[in-house]
Amino acid sequence: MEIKLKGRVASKGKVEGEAVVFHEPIPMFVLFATMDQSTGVMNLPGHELDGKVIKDRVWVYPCGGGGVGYILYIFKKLGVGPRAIINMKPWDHDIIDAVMARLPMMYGFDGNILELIKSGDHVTVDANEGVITLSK
Amino acid sequence: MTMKLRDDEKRMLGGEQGPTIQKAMQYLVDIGEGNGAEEMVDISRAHILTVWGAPHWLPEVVRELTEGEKVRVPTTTHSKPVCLQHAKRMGLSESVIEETSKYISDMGQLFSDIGAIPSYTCLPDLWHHLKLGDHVAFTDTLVVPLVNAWFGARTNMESPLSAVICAITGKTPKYGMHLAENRAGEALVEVAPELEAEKFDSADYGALSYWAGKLRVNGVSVLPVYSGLSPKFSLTNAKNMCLSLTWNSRADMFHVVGVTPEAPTIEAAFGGREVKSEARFVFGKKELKGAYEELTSATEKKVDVVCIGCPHCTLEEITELAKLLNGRKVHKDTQLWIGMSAAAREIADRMGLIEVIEQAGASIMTDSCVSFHSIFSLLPRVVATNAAALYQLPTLTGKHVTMWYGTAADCINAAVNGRWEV
Repeated sequence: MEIKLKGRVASKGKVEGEAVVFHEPIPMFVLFATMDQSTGVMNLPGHELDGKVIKDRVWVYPCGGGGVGYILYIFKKLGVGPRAIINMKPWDHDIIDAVMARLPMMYGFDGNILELIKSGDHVTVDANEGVITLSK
Repeated sequence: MTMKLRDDEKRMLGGEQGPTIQKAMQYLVDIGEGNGAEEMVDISRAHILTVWGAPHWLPEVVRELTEGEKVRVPTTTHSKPVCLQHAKRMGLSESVIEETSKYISDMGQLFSDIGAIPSYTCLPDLWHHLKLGDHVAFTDTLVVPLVNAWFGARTNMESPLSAVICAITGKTPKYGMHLAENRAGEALVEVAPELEAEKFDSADYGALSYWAGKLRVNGVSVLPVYSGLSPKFSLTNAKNMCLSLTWNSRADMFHVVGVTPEAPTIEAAFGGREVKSEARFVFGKKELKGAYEELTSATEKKVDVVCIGCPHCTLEEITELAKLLNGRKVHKDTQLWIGMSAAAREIADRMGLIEVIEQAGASIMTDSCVSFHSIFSLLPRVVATNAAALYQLPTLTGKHVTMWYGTAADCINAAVNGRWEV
């Protein structure tokens, strides 16, 4: 089954990959500081991301959260970041850094991404056309 | 959507002012379009970052972005990652001190080359004289909410990189906080009369703001409007509410009804929009206690470090600390770190406050961050603080640090007794 959702484009580009979904906003800074950079596995006991691989995935989350910016740029430079980012309401830094890291990013969809997308789903993010496609 | 650029902006984008400005303008256009901006706005001021915890690339990346250019608006610089004067006593190894010293010196050279103001503080208000409606480009989660909320100047949460390209072009895309409609409140936080807010300590304000940062309406964080706070609410109180708000929220500002410039009334703070029932919250005794509990992660009573001045102390706070420390001595097994800008220190020195604080055995950390997590990662400690801003330290340091949270008086008592006894 395929589901298509339209959204706003924050940063252009087209990629596909496996989704990793988290439901509470988490500062990018914490994601960076608590990820094993060689394996991409999170070490965040008590959190839904604990033990999950976030490197090279399509990140799906509700909205951004604070902390120091420029993290996506560093993620990209180290080659341990997401393939793309989709969320409901972005934090300023996330868009700025996605643009500067040249990482596809979309937000504000015509469907609830947190309900429709599960971790492990295959997602195509076409941030040139403003459409994501889920394959279930 | 395509942004409408003015002639000078088109020329910058076309390369007339050289490749650095051309590249910077292209980034600004892309950021603007990603955020739905229709045009650019001229900025009058900027604030750029010094501290960076990841691999030390900031000088290299900023140098690439600014190659051959200078800032076109007055641009202040953030706190340094560590106070080298106290680094040894803090317990940092020779190699870390050497590496950090090189980093600070590289950043200093870079700031001098691009013509930035070496203010080195997370409280750069003194150097900006901001006023209501000014468009500026500031970075940092402490500074941005303060600029928007307290001064009513308008800045988005620029990233450390975008703030630099704004500074060298004098432009930023006009979206988000630059537009009046996005500055309206999204949730009303009524501070219950039972709390007697007029007696609030900075730690109480930090706890309130931390709690508000976790509020969600329809699953999304909100721009809070506080009612019921004291009319005496000051810049010192406001700055202690900034980082603890933004850690868990995308809010770039807050309003205090009857105090901050865009919130003379609740109606004004919400831009004339109705406050729906799901966006009304009450902060009472239970919520305050809960926030203190969440901000506390320590169980060990013996305190290694007491950390005050995140964000940097105002003169008002330095005066209070000198009163609390007068004639007392910091415990031999505990360190007391107090962060402030060089400017605040100079004036406090003339007032005799620095002498009192130093005689008590405190380490005054000038121009630098007292809570830089990369430094704390190297120093497993029990920390006591009145700064809600520090609450992520246990997570960021892999639980190397645990934290007691309380008022300035509680913290100074802990420094003197060497133990947390509240």
